[in-house]
Amino acid sequence: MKRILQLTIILLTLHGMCEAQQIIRGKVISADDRLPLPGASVKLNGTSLAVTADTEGRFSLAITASDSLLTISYIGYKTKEIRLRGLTEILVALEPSPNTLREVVVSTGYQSVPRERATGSFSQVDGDLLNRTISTGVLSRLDGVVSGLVFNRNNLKNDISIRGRSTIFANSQPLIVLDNFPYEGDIENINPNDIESVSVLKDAAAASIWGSRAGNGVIVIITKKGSNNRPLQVSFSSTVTSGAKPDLFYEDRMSTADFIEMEKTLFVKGYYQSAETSINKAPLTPVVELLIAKRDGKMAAADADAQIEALKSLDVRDDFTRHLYRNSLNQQYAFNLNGGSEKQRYYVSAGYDKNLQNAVGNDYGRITLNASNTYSLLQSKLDLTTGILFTQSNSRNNNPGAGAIRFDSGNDFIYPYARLADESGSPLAITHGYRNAFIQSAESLGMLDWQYRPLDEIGVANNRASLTDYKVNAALKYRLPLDFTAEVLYQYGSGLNERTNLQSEESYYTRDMINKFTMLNSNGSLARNLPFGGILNKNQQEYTSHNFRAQLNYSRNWLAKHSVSALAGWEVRDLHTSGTSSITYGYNSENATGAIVDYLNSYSLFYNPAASSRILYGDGMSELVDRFISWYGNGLYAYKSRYTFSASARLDQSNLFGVETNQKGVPLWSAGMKWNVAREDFYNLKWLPELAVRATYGYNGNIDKSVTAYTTARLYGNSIITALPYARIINAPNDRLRWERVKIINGAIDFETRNGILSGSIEYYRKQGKDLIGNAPLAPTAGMETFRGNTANTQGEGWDVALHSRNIDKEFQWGTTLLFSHATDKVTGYSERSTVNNYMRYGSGSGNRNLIYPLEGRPLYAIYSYRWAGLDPQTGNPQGYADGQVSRDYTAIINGSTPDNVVYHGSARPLVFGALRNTFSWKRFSVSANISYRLGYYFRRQSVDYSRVLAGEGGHGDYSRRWQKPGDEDITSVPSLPAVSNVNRDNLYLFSEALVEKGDHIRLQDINISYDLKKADIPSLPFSKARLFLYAGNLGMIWQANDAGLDPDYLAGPPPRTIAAGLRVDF
Amino acid sequence: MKIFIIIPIAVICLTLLSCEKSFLEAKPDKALVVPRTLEDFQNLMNDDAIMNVASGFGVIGADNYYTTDAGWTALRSPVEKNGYIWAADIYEGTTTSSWSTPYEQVFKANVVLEGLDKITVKSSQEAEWKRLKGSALFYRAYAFYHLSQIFAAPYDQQTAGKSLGIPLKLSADINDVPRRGTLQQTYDQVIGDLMMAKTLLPRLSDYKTRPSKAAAFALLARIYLSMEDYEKAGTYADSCLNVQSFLQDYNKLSTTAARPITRTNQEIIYQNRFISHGIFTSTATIIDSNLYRSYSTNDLRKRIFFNDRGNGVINFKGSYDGTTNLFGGLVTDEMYLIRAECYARAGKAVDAMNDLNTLLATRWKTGTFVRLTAPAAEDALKIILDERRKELVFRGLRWSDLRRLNKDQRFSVTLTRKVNGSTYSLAPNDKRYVYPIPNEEIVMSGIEQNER
Repeated sequence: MKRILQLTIILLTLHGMCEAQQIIRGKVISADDRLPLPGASVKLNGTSLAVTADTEGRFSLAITASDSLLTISYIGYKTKEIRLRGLTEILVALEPSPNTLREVVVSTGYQSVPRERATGSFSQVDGDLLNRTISTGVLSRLDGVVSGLVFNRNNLKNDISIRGRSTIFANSQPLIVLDNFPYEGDIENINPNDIESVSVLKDAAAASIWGSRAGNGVIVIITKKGSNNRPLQVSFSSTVTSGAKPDLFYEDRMSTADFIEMEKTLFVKGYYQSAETSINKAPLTPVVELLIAKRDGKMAAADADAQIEALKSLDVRDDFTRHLYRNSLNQQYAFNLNGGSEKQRYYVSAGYDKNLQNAVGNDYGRITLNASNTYSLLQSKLDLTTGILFTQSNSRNNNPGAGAIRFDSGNDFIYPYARLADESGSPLAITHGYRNAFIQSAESLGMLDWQYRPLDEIGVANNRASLTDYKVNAALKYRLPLDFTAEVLYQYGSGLNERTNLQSEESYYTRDMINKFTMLNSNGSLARNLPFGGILNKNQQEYTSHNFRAQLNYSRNWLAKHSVSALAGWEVRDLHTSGTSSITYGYNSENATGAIVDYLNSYSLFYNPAASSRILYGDGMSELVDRFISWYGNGLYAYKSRYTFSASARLDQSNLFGVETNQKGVPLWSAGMKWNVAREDFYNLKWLPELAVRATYGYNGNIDKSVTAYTTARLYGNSIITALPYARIINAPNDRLRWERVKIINGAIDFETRNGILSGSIEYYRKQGKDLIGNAPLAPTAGMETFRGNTANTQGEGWDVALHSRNIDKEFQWGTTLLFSHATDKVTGYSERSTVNNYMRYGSGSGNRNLIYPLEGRPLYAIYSYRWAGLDPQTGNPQGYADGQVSRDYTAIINGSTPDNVVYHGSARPLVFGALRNTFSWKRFSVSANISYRLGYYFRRQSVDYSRVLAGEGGHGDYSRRWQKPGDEDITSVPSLPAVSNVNRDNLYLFSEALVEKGDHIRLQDINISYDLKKADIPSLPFSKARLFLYAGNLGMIWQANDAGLDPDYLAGPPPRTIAAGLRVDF
Repeated sequence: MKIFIIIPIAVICLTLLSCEKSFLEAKPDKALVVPRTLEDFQNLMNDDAIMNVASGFGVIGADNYYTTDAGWTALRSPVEKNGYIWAADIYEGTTTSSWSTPYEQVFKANVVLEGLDKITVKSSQEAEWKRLKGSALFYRAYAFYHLSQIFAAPYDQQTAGKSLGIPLKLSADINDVPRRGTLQQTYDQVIGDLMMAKTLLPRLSDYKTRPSKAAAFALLARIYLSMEDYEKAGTYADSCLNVQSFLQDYNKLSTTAARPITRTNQEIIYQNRFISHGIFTSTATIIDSNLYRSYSTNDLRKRIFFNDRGNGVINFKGSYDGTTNLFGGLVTDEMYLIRAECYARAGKAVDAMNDLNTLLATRWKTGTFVRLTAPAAEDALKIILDERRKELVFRGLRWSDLRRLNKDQRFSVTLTRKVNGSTYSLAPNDKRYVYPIPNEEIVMSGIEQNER
């Protein structure tokens, strides 16, 4: 058993009890699976006496009349009344009531709190809801099912915010706890079939037990366990998911014909002349080569023109779609055994995943093993739990996708008439890196084949990553006298992450490297400075972690009125990560040998003997140590199940670099209360049997280990000229450094109408980020681009509403869950100002650099734009405002813009979001559809950037909608093609009001259809129950506010639709 | 049975707590250092990618080359495109490392200077301490001086007390935002730093990227020359040549090599390269025809410095960096030329021509060089200035020379560029001889912008 605090409630110590009293004992279990129901409420009718069942579902109660009537209730179950008729020991089995959340015991990672006594803000996702979604990992299953939790799309994978962002530059992701300890490594390693439930801790009272790591909220994942006195149970599940190919045509690109016409125009202007004589043998596209051949009379003009015309019908995205991508196919199998005797309980599982990804040549496989075992010893006074969690995964990344296929390594475009394969499917070479004529002449001199055939690259690539991770747990829990329990927990974790990229001599990269480092001797012979053979890049990361915790728990009830539970503990954590990386040249995979190369001398390069380069030295090492020592405590007092008060405090110390010991610690605390109004004697609203009010206050923390109090430099291997070790300053001195704190106030109402027709909770919160670590941009004279320190404050507030209704509850059932969240944030203290360009480009947080440019008084992520005055009717030039006047002086417009006079549209992240989930069931069928919505935000759509067009790199498809003749200004806002590119002119348009759109949209997230088979219904079945299901995900938009039909969350193209089929059997 | 639990807990807790202090003292990342030792300070200054670079704006704006219409059209960077035609705004909203990198050097130098003041060293480390302090002062002076050549007006004794200097950042404290001050303050600071540096530095250094006494003398000579203080310029050039005077014989270099001059050549006093620009390496960047013609056939520099690709395409290949990067450091040839110029200006025509001939003898094909003579100091000066331009081509010095010499009617020139049918010109002493400061700096520190 990994839950830490067992709330053992022993009612009625017998001292001073009236003789007429009689003790009755009982246990509350679920009629469905016979599992105990901890936290179930047992009430003696006609009195105010009520008790709560402990973690094993047991309770005891003193009664005066032997024929008393007890009411036993539990959220998610049908309330039951039992007349004692003289019984002193009872077993109460509650029937689950469908379509209500079975949020019962929430876990913080330190203790399990009965929902009824939780003062803080918790959301719980149970196994059924988790399994509604099909995915390889766990986290994505939380999308659209937890109020206040949002996935920031258009960003890194699984970028989660709980109640908005609480930090600026420190870690912004919630802490993920697996059972008792924070999970080191990628949580996607965990097999989702092993998950029992997930608790999301949102406010200070819920999360502050995690202290300095709780600032972004906490996600506690509880794995499945065995149960006592339960026969062996075997379950098996299997799912197969298929996804469509990505839609490469989603992004509107300039047509091939337009691209070629532009190349012709540029050619006439002489744009390619310098590239033609380039000392670096810079590549020229096939059309430019044809134009040169035509100009130089090497080809008949008519032939050249015909060939160019023929190219106009090609679109390289057709080839990408055909040859680089396929339908994805993900398979997932899981198997588990669990059960237990009186003295032992166990859970053993195995999972296997095999994913063939969209990109041909990429796949992923994972094996997980999980076993846990708990023994009860010494008359059940001592519990010994051991567990092991093992993951092994392998992935191949041989196809970096269409984006990696480029014309030249320094550019990020490909000419749109490139062909990857001929009609028969044989790979074709594309122009890349150098001019074709140069490549041919080089080959005649004995160089290796210098052609780049992207499709061949997939076949010869050997780019693998493998990961092995295991965690071993041991826990001892001993029941001491006087209602104390002591426990010690220890977890050892270790993982090895290995990436191997062998680029064999057949690969373009290696051929190119060998050729580059070849010198032509004056006698015509070749000197190879880089040996033949492959180039092997190896990167290993290893970690070991120790987590140790000692904790003392206390739990006691008095006189059926007072109940106290408290815990205090000490925890130590040590995470050691080390990494090595290496590059081996001349690698021979037959016998695993490499060759020696000279890293110190510079060699002149074959394509340009005037340029020289050293051979890239790639050996590196790193060693990181993360240490924490923490003290924590938590107490809860409840009076008559009506009033509950909670308090929590924690002190963390770490080896945070450069902070003196006395500054290392940070105390964080919270307090909360809950008033269970419905338990009051005066309460008599029969239609609303559950009503409670909660309020909490406190502080969570956040750590940014990248900042230190001292001037800190990072040491690097070898400098460019002298190859001596050198250091760069990464941190300016800052003796006032403090840890970040987030103050949260939370108020909530929980309610349920009679028979659970409508239930839910409404929460309001205010957050204040204090001493946030901010990147204050510095004037360049400071010598550093930015300064990191406690430079910012933020403020946020919002609502989280979760409503569940049972609309029809007959043979046909219809239930609805509505999640509604409103989260706003504002920067309240940030003195530094950056340039308008930075706010425009990166203010939305979606730029490549993942930067934030906070501006006081605005949301952390916001959309700004230049005021737009339309197009000049004579020239089609864009017009903005300078000094309040319509202007075409682009330098004056841009340089005259300040954060105060540009247009502020609003937040770049949704202010309102949530989901509406309807579930219909009839007999054994069930259909559930989740519709998610995001409202109240803005995004910037892309358009044509003429400086790229005029560099022959193509661009956005808006090019065809550009202003071309007077009158067009009424139908388009795309400026005319300028004669000479002008960055300011481009920027005025690209960052103008004209391109800002509302992001509001509603999307059909997924549909799940299932069919249940139960032995109870069909006795001939060889298993006790089974579920067959179909699942369709990423179904697309229902409505969006922007007219362009763009998906604001996936500007580069929405994730492909998926369809899955699966089966889950319990024997 | 309680013992069963309590003892292990107690033992573990006590063991861990007892070593708690050192437990939390562990360095979180081994690659991080808090610079405290002499070695740390040296490592900070070993960063030659930062410490040994300077702005190439002077090369862009000067008249040693031109680019074709096609070459200009193909330029991607606004700074190059606009800098070439001396446009009023050259950045179009972009920023430039030509401004920020020198201040990075100043920051590192300030960190070292403040760090050195805080530590006490053993007597055996005294020399090293002095060398590091001298180095930091030198790096700071080098950065300030070269910024002043791009972003501040040419030095003029009459107006230096009033015209704007460059911001002098003298502490590592990032909250200290310097103002521009006067040009006189800029020069006083640079000269003051170097005066101290020259007493601390060793005569020569182990690596050419590290400053030496010779380098401090050479930089002082260069600075006094730009201030038209020819007496002091000549003195420091002489001091430098007393330490290092080697000139390589160009006859020993290969005229056909792609890069005939190597980085390891012994003429170099101090290594520095210009921040690279596409316009420096483009084949459309062609040496000024008159300048090219001024090299005699027997002048080896004609073939060592330049690559004649035919059709009038003549590219530069003679970088003292030995790579495609242009060299921006200090070399003995410049010292000979400074001393010669100063002799000439002092009326010592014979001494002046002696220095020039010493230099040129190594530049001409063996046996072809005829010693130059000048009837009067005035003639010597003219010859020396012509040879100065030819010898120091693409070393970034032409820009400073134009700023200095344009004040003298005898030597002033108007520069012109022709691009796509338009003609642009830059008259002597034009305000555009001072580059604008990037807008980012103006916005964030509120300092005054240069008039253009």
